[in-house]
Amino acid sequence: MTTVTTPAGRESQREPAGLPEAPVGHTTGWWAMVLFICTESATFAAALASYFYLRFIGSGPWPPVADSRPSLLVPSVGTAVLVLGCVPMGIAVRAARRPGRLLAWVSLVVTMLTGVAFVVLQIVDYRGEWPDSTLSKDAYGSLFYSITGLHGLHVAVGVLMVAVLVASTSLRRIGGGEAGPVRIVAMYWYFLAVLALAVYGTVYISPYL
Amino acid sequence: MPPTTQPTQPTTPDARPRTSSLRGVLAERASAEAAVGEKLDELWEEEPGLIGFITTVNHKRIGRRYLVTASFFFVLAGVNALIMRTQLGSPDNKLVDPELYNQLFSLHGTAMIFFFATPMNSGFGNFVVPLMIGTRDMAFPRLNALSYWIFLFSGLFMFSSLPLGLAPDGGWFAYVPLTGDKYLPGLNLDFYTLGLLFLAVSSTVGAINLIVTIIKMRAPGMSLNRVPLFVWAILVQSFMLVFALPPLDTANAMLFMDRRFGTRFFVPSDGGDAILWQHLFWLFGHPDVYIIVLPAMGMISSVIPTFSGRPILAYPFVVLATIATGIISFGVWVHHMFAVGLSDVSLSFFAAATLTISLPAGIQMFAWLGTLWRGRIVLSTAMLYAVGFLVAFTLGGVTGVMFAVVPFDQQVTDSYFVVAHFHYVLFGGAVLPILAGLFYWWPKITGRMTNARAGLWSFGLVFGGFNLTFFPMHIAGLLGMPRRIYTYQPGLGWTVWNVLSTVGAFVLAAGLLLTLGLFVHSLVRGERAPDDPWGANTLEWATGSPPKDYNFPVIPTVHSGNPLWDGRTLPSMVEHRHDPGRTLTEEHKTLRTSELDSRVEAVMTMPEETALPLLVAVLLTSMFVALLVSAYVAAGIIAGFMAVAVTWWLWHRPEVEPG
Repeated sequence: MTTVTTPAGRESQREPAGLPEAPVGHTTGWWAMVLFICTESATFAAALASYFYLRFIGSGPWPPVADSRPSLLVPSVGTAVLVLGCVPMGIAVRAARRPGRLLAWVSLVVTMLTGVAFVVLQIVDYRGEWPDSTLSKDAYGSLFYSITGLHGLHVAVGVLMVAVLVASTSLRRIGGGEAGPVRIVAMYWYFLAVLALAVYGTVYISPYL
Repeated sequence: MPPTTQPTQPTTPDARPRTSSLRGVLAERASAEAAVGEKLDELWEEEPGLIGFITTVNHKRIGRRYLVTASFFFVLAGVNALIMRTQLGSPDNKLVDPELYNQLFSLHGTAMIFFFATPMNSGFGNFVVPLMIGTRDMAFPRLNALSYWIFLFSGLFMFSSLPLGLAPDGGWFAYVPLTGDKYLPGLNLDFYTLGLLFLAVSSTVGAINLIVTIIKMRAPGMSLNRVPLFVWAILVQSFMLVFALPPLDTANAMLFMDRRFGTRFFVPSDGGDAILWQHLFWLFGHPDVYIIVLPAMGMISSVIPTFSGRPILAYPFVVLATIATGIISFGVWVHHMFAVGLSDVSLSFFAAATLTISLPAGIQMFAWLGTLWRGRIVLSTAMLYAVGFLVAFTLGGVTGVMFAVVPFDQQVTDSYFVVAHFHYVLFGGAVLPILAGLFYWWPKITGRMTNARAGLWSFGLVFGGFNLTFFPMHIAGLLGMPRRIYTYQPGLGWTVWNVLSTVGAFVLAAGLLLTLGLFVHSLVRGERAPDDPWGANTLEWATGSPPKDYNFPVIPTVHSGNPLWDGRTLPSMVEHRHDPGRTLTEEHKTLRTSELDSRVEAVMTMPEETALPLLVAVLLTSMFVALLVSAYVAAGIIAGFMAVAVTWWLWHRPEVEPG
């Protein structure tokens, strides 16, 4: 009998066929989403860092004289809606683990609607800002539209993901105990909410500070 | 269950217990194959012919394609270099005009960094990592096929610019304001920004795939402290890609918008800033040096123990040095910008950080030297290249440390001294190890041995030609020759050094051509390779040469960091050959294990072959072509199709629809 030093080795000696009864641990899909969120975070970090870099490298006022400060009402509502959308998403994750599918389905639809509302509100906001600051007027306008636009695009992709979940639940492919995909999309959805706060704080609040 | 009956052979530092002979099939594998090989063959076999070619998701085929395609781009970019060296072979030469010369050096640098060195490492990662960690495929085989197709198409996209006369012409780091639409109108720089954004999709999904494979698919028992150093290097490199590519993508997207949509990111008169490009570019660019060099060092850490006949010295320190390099490399980017005119504080900080990063490299160097010192050295072709790397990389490292000294750096910035330095680091530090890796894994990849005598010639010509090409550049640089000039006047004292470099370039090209011939000869006439021709220590040598589609008939239990030398890991394949939890003969499956200790967690169903990755890659290609020709509406519509294709892809997950 030989001594084996790692827990894994010991286990395999006791029970070589050792497969657990039910799958445990994080799936490969879960890890892939974590890493995708990492690389997305780095992208937004680079974009937001560029915002502050360009603001502080120049000595003039921010926003520049030709632009006015962004209006706050519409983006505040939009950001609040998106952040609150995490609640139905959380409910959907819990519901998907249980037998019935109705609650999961309803909460996913509500989640999706919060995302749609955010994108619509962002377009409304653009219509209010456009004549005053444009994409090509100065670096301030370029940053404003490209950062919020990049985030809006991400939310649109998130809406698409949730829409696929809604369809999958309707067709009984997920839910009723099979919660893996819901968990993974939920992680991305929470990430979108955190991003929304970062973008909101940078693009809308920081010019007032 | 009776305890393991095989006698253990303790791995003492100086003795390598041979588990079997270095000829033919390993007895343990033969026994395992006899038990389950036929069943697995049926399950894992892919369609033959053209359909199989476009639908394959097998990591070994994809890895081979990566290696072949990246080598092809290496040849193209190498021909660019030869033309440049011919042009510089004599003063006032008129072989190429300045416009073409600008395109040649820009495309040479861009292609060598992005379309050769990084994907070549991915090729080794793809082929070797699943074998080294004892699993049957990558975590996401379809994604793996996608990242290959995107790499291929983005490379063709980038290189198609040269025959059109529209190759990037702003240098490989494309500084604004030169690269703005005002000074360089035309599609040249759009090929650059779009080509790199296009390729980044491939690199990012490839990196995520490798990370997940390494943390979730290791054979039972391969806890983190038993992971081979090459796998560690690929893991750290992939994490670096995940965090380093975003700043580059951000910069390229900004430049593209500045050029096409009139944004003002890099236009100082409208509140933008030209230095922002440099910060974002080098925030990617310096980690990228290690993205290229770390896997190459990992190859060296595979070759040296095998041909020294003993485990690597100070394994934990080498692992920690690899991780430390990865982290510190994100904090040294400003040393590329010492001549820009930044504040003294940032110069001091980044000079200190640059000195620090030489420490982990030193640790690895001493670990290799110590391993050689205590080992019984076999001078195979792979080992010759590995030793050549030690010399060349040390020289490149020494000049690198010199750049940490700000006044010296400012003196030689943009001179040939810099060109000499980074070719020692990138050719010496990456191409030589890649050649070592090719010679080392060639028998595993192709099932054929290479000719040892021809290998000696290959190494002699390549190593000699490399030094003759790049060493004189140090001197030309110190004599004041700036980089990126298309010609120079006689009587400046540069002529002799340039002639030497040009002669060296042709010797190097001859050496590489000979190496290519050697590999072709091996494919056609080479001796059949046994399972384990070198008496190596890692798991890939426990498979067939070349490996079967399913890699391992029985997934082994790993008992140490040198599984083929511990005398217990190989017998575990025999022991488990009737254990359905290890043979997994019912469906297309492999094991999923825990992140740290590699305990078995679940059985994963793997996807069958599919043409979806190719379809998505083709759609992405057409989207980038549409962006290039300003067909933005078409690009949007294609993006819509892509969303449908990706949804279809995710809908048909193997867990939901087995088989």
